[in-house]
Formats: sequence, structure tokens, C-alpha cells
Amino acid sequence: MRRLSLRAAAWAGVLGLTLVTLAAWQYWRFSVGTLDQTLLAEARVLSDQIAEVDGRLDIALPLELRTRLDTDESYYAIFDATGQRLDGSAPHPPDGAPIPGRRTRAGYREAMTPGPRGTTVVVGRSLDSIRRDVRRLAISLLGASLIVILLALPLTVWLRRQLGQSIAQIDETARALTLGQPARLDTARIDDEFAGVARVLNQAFDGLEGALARERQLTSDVSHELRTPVATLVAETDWALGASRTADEYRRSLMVCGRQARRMKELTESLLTLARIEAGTLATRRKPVDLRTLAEDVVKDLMPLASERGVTIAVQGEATTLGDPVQLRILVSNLVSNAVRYNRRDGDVLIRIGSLERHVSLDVEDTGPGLNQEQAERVFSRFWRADPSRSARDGGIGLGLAISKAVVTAHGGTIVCRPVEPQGTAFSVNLPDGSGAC
Amino acid sequence: MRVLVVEDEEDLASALQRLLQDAGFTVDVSHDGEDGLWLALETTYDLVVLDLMLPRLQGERVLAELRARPRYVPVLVLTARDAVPDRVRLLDAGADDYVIKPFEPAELISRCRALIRRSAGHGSAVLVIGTVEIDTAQRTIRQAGMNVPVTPREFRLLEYLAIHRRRVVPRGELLEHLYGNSEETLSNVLDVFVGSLRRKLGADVVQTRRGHGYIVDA
Repeated sequence: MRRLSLRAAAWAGVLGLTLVTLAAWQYWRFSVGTLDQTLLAEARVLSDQIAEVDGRLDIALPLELRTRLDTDESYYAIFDATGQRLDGSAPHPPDGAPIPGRRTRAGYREAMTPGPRGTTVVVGRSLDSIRRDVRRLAISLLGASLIVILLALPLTVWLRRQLGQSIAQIDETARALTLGQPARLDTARIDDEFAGVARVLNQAFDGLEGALARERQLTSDVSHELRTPVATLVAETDWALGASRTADEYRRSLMVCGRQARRMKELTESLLTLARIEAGTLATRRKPVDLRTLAEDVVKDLMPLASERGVTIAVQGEATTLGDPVQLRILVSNLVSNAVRYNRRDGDVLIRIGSLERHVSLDVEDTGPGLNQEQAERVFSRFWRADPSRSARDGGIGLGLAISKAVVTAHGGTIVCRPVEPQGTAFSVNLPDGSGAC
Repeated sequence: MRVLVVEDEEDLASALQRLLQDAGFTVDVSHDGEDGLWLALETTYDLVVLDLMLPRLQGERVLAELRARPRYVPVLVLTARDAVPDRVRLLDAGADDYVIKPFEPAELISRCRALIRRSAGHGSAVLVIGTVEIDTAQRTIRQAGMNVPVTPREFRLLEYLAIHRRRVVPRGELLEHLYGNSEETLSNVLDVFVGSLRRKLGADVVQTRRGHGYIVDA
């Protein structure tokens, strides 16, 4: 900041000097031009006084003119055609051959004009007074700019302090954020040009902090989810390797390890799917997808699980949406397998597909125990399970609905969970219509 | 030493049971909080290993119920939460110790031993009864600097009596703590093991209080 204001002061100085020089030069040129006009006019007046009387040149200068031209400051001279001086003032006799026009010589400005009969009239005047004027002008201008600069100095200091405060605050806040402390710019304290910047920065900080918080939550969730399978793997292998075991015991140990490893694999895959959908990198192709065919495919895949639990699945209606077939399949598969898994024995699952105005709907209803209001609100959170205890055997890893929600969001749709009468839960999905796009 | 493991993840519970059994503990397992609490209240365990995420009754509730009763049993908590406030809350709620999943089994076993030992008022892992040194960590017995070979069952009997030294331990308590409910035990196996120990370590190491039980370091 200090360097910046020094530079500004230097520039102001250079600018002032240039202005003063230009002004002085212009004034000098103007004054000399005016003097030239005066000198020429006087020379002409002089030449008008030259008359030829009887073949001789007669110069009859009025006294008034002579006294005006013959002073400390001025001189005049009249030469004949041979260059001989016919008349002139005493103190400053010009020497050398007269040249028509104007010239500056030894501190005098001189004008020459041809007179009658080959005569030459020379009038000169000292430039001292103009020099004095120019000097005076330059000095007063320099003084004025100095005063302006001096007056502006506190202003720049104040400005500098003002900007410095804003920048210091931005600097301080950014530092605090780097250290992981929640900090924001105080926009009430920044009301200059930085106010807009501060607002934008605050928004950026908000976004960053939100992303960081989500990241931290995810890391903590993931590590939490991985802890039990890892603990089981470590305990099981420690036991198996702790002493000599029978072949049967080794087989059982390996089965446990395999089961836990598969659980971790599932977790990893689901997390990856979720991350990809949320990041929008999983193929965001938009193709017409026939929901009826998709639902029937999914039902076919889930048949073994359903018949094991005696659950009957029915599909009603049809509609076409526009979307990513792979993602939509994950969505429907998650919803239907949940409906089967969390159903009562010998329960029913109903998949209802329908068209609304410019939307298609897909409802998956089950006849399970249902969810209460609080559970229905939290059901889409990552790693949320209706039963807080988690067992690798009796359920998923708690990411299915989070993934489903991410898919629906990526397709510009909505998903809600609601109770159905007399008993059960429904997941209602709304997606953009795709029938017109074929 | 009889330990109750309350852990809903069946694979982990089973691995823990076998690990602890190999380390010389008698282990009962429960897969939910309600059953675990009932077992812990019905049986006199030397230690309860308690998971926090439990179906039916959360681990923290089980701990609170246990601490609401007059009889003290050491509780070691298995937790997946490693944040300081969580750990502080656990200890303040009456947990004696905790391990964070994933834990090192060897460390868990050491902590189990230490908890049992400390709850009986012993600091050292080596219990000294006269000239006999019982190393509860190495599971060895030395007498006058010489290793005395004993069977695991003999060791467990002597270890239990030594931890509860100067107290007459009834035969029923011994049977319950050493062999648990699962094993079919005959009361006279105790006489067999005590006889064997007397032969190896000298007649006065374990004394019989007829009609009451056994005592060490009377």
C-alpha cells in the first residue's frame, strides 16, 4: 500500500511538472508572437516616416515614436540599400547585415522590414520582461500544484487507510478460513468499492465452507461405516492366525472375511455411484426411456428376493421419460428392492406409472410397517436407516435412497416419501415427460 | 474370568468370542441390547464388552441401566465414534474404558484383563501369592523363579482365586466364572483341579473351607 501511494505521488509530481512546462512554453510562444506583431507594426510605422526628398532620404521621426523606441529595452535602426546606417537609437546599435523577418539575438527580439528605396528598418526589444513573466507564471503554477499536492496528501492517506482496511479485512478473513475457522467479511465495515467484492467473496466462502462441511460429514460417515467391517476383518484374521485351526475353522474364517470384504466393496461402489451422479459425471445422456419396460425388467431381477419373502409385485400403467437409462434403472431398482426388503412377509408391492401434464410419475408402494413423519423426512439422508443398529445381513448400507434422490435431482425431477393407507410407505417420483422427444 | 460380549454384528461378536476364549476367558454373547442387559443383570460377569449401536436397546441405555444397579461390573465399550465429546460422554456415563473400532484384538484383550484386575484392586498383571507368581498376561505360573507347567483350566482356577485372594470363593461362583453356562460341569471337577494344583505348587497354596469354598492367601 505504501509503495502504491508513493507511486501515485510521483506520478502527480511528473504530471504537474509537465503541465507547468507546457503552460510556460505556450505563454512564451504567445508573448513572443505578440511582441513580433508589435515590432513589425512599429517597423512599418518607422518605414512610413521615410520619404525621398530631392533624391535624398529624409527621416522625420516624431518625438513620441523616437522616445518609445529608444529606451533601455528597445532599439531601432534604419539602413540604406548599401547597408549604411542612416538613423537609429543610441544604446543598442544593431550590427551585421539586416535580414528581413524576425530573429532573436542576444536576449533581444528583432523585426526587420524593407522600407522605401531599398532601406531596411529594424526594431528590437528586450525579451527580459517576457522572461520575467514566464518565470513568474511558472513559479506561481508550481506553487499552486504544490499546494494542491499538499492538500491532496491527507486525502490519499485517508483513502489508503480506507482501502487498506478493506484489504486487511479480506486478508484476515481469508487467513482465518485457511486455518479452518468460520469467518466472514463484515460488509457493514466495507462500504467502498470493495463492498461488491466482499459480498462475492462471502458467497464464495459460503459455498466453499458448505462443500467442506459436506466433505467432512461424508468422510466421517464413511469412516464410521467402514469401522465395523474392518474391526471384524482384523479380529477374525487375528483369531484365525493366532493358533493352528482346523480346515473347517479356516473355511468359516474365510467366509466371514469374504462377507465383510463384500460389504466394504458394496459401500465403496455405492459411494462412487453417488459421488458420480452428484458430480454429474455419470453419463448424462438423455434418451427416451420406457418406464413400463424398465420396471418389468427390474421386477424380473428382484424376483428371487421377492419370492423368498413371499412378496408379490405388480406393475400398472405406462409412460416414457427422457433420461439416462442406467441411472433410471438404479433408481427404480433401489425403490423396488427397498419396498420388497422392508415389507411384511407375504406383502405387496405396487409400481404405478402415470402421465401428468408434461410430467411422468412413478410410485412405488409397499405394505410394510411404514415410516413416521420424522423418519420420512430423513429417509433420503446418507447412511440413514430406520433401525439405527446396522447389521451386514439384514439390510443395505443406507445409501440406496440417497442415490435415488441424486438420480431424480440430476434429471430435474422430485421424489417424496409418504405414508399409504391403511399401512405402508410410498415413494413418489416425478420426472420430465419424454413422449414428445422420440 | 467370565465375559459378556454384547455386539449385534454377528461376525464380529463371534470373532471376539473366539479371541477372548483363546485368551482364557469364558465368553457369553448377546446380539441385542435388551437380551444383553438381561444377561448382564442375571449373571455375575467379570466384565461386559458393550457395543453402542444395538438393536432394541441402545448401548448407552444398557450402560445407564447397569450403572443404576448397586452391583458393579466393569464395562468396556466398543465404539465407532472417535470424537472427543463422544468419548468423554461415554466415560462420564460410567464406562470404565473404551476401544474405537477398528481395534487391535491384542490391545482389547489386554484392556479386558486390566479392567478385571483393577476392579478387584490389583495394579500389576503379575499376582504374587507367597512364593507363587501368576503372570495373567503371559498365562504362566512361576514358583521360586521356576516355571510350573499348568493346564489352562488349572490356570484359570488359580487366577480367579488369586484375583479374589483372602476371600472364600464359593464353589458355585467358581463354576459360573470359569466354565459359564454352556459347559456341562460337575462340581467335583473343581476338586480334581485343586488337587492337581496342590501337587504342583504345594499343599497350602489353595485351601479348602469345607462347606463354603476355596481361598488363596488366607
